[in-house]
Amino acid sequence: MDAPAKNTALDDPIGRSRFGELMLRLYRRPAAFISAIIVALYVIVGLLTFLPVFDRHADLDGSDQLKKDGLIWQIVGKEYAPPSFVSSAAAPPEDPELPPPTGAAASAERVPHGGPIDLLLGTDILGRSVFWHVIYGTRVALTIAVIASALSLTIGTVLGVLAGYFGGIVDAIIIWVVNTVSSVPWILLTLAIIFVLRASFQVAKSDAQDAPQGTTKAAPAGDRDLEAVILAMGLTSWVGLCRLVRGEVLSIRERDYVVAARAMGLDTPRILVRHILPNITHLIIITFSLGAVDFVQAEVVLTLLGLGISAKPSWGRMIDDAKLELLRGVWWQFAAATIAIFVLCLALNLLGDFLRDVLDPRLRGAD
Amino acid sequence: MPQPLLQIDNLNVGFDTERGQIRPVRDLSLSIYPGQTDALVGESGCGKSVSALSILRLIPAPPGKILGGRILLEGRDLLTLREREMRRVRGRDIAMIFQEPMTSLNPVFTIGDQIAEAVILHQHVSRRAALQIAEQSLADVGIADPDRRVREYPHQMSGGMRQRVMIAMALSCKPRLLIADEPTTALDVTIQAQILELLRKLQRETGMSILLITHDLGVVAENADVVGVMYASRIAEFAPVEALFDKPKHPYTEGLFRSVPQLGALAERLETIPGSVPDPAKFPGGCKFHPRCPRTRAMVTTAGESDRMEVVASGERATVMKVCAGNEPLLREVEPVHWAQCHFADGHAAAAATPPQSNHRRSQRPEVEEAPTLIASARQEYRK
Repeated sequence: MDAPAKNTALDDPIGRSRFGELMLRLYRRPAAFISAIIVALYVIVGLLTFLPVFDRHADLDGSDQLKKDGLIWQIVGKEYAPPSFVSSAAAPPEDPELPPPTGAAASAERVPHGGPIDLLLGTDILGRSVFWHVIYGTRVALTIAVIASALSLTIGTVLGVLAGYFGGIVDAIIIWVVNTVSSVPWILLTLAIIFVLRASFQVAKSDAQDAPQGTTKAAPAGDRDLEAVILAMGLTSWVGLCRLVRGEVLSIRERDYVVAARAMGLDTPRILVRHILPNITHLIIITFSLGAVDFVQAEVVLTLLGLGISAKPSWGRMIDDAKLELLRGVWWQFAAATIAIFVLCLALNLLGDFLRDVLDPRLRGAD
Repeated sequence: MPQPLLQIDNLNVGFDTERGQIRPVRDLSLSIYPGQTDALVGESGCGKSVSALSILRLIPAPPGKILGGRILLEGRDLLTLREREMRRVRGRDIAMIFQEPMTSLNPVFTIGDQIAEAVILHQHVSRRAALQIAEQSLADVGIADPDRRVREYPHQMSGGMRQRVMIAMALSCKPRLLIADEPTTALDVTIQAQILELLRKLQRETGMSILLITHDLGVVAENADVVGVMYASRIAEFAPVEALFDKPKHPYTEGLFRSVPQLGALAERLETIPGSVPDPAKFPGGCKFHPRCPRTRAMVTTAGESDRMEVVASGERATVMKVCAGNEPLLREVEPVHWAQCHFADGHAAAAATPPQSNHRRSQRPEVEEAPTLIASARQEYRK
């Protein structure tokens, strides 16, 4: 057959790919469809913060760069300004019992020059924009979710496939590691890894400072925090997928098509990549979409414990900062971060459920 | 006499289990000549499939291992090849099709990709050329619209079509030996006839040999040149197909023929072989068939007291010949080109224990149109 015949066949509905079918089913499930759009919006917002025009809001660190012209750390209004859509009458009254706010902003010539967007969700203790905190927090949350997932899914899949396919001593060793990791409480292990990583980053940093000037620029502390959190989460969360993949591979490797592939003369790497891996991708996709929720929430927990992100405005940090301000009736910072988390997690969960319904063969028909 | 394409010498296979080692294949010798169809027939668990997988060295190891013997493909011992060399034999020299066409294709790849995979591997052609070969193979096995079907997924096809795809895949690299492990068991009768007819046609065209593994005596009668009947891990009887069906020498073979339903025969119930296939973990001593054997029970009536003994078979007491319960008979050439493994097969005592081999071809093959016609007439017969 010649090339033109192939081109016409591309439009043939019978040859529709799995991805195409997935999209069709997504379109038919409104809840999942809306969830997918919401997740996509979060991703777009997170990606937009990398644009230079947004970057000036984001590229800021605590003390040193406070004076730099960026909106996140810039004072855009008076301290604890309520969201602009709340009428000023609803603003919390000045409470003489509580000490007056003592930020840099409180001291002197405060020039509220924020625009309506800056003030949309009110301001925090220093008069900084809550709105931009939420936006930048999206980027941090998604960065953590994506990179930690990539790490955890890679470890879990590779070890699971090896254990399931080769069995014997390989299986015994990997299962031993899995059992060891999963027998330590998750939070303890994560904390321990973060401590170790931070300590080693400190060493690396001081080494870099000892080096001749100009060779290495010491990274701001905030970046290192992020790396530590991501690494710790990635290194502790792979065991579930590993078990799942191992079990699935145990059954797949006995399937007739794997035996048939061996009978056709395929070697082991080819069988693993061509015949085993494509048949467990549904597990990876489902684990990713449901696991991302855990990573977003874990960042909040770690930050509340004081081991999360310290120098960047993350949702966890916003909640951490806001927990005392609630006493003053300042609810908007807390609410903004919580709603941002809630909506993202709900959307991810609904999308994950949909993917499981569609992709998991056990929940599909007999075919 | 031409050289056999594949010659199996005294193959022994063991599986280590918690209950000790079991022996699914014992002392198997078999020769397959170019263009010949050899059938291995027997009940489930008699060792047919393990024999087939052993030829390709595909038995799961551990627990399985080949304990001894030789498997010569044109004089080259497959059991001594490196895994690398063995992979070149698989698919290119020897291909295999499986019982379950529904599960033998990977659900996530298109038909074309799966056939092309093997073609690229063995013929070192581009993906584009491999897909064309795949398309041609699909046309060869009688699939309509091959240019459209190569782009389809397995779930879009019926069982019969998938088995055709499996055959197309197996034949895409033009193997010299096709191992067909119960190729029609999972298919309904009309499709069975089509698939077998297709295999015969392809064999005529390519001159390949077929090792046909089945438990269906009808399939054997219509397709095989020579037949090996397996029982309890060994070949119980081996003969050209006509000789086997005319004058079976082994009581197990006789029992198999008696338990085939016959058209027009008015029988209250179908005859069966009493008892069941022995568990490989606890084979009986002596001849593995003696607990179920009608011949040894018949022999005791004329035998002296010292020659018989009491055994417990399937929970019942039975009197059998001492030699049957004590010694396992060898497979001997009891008649020219007819081997049997029974102490009381005519001529067994004097015969030589040669390895069974025969380049016999069946005298006439059923015409291409005959199988469906036979079935149609059988149906009419049934309705009367």
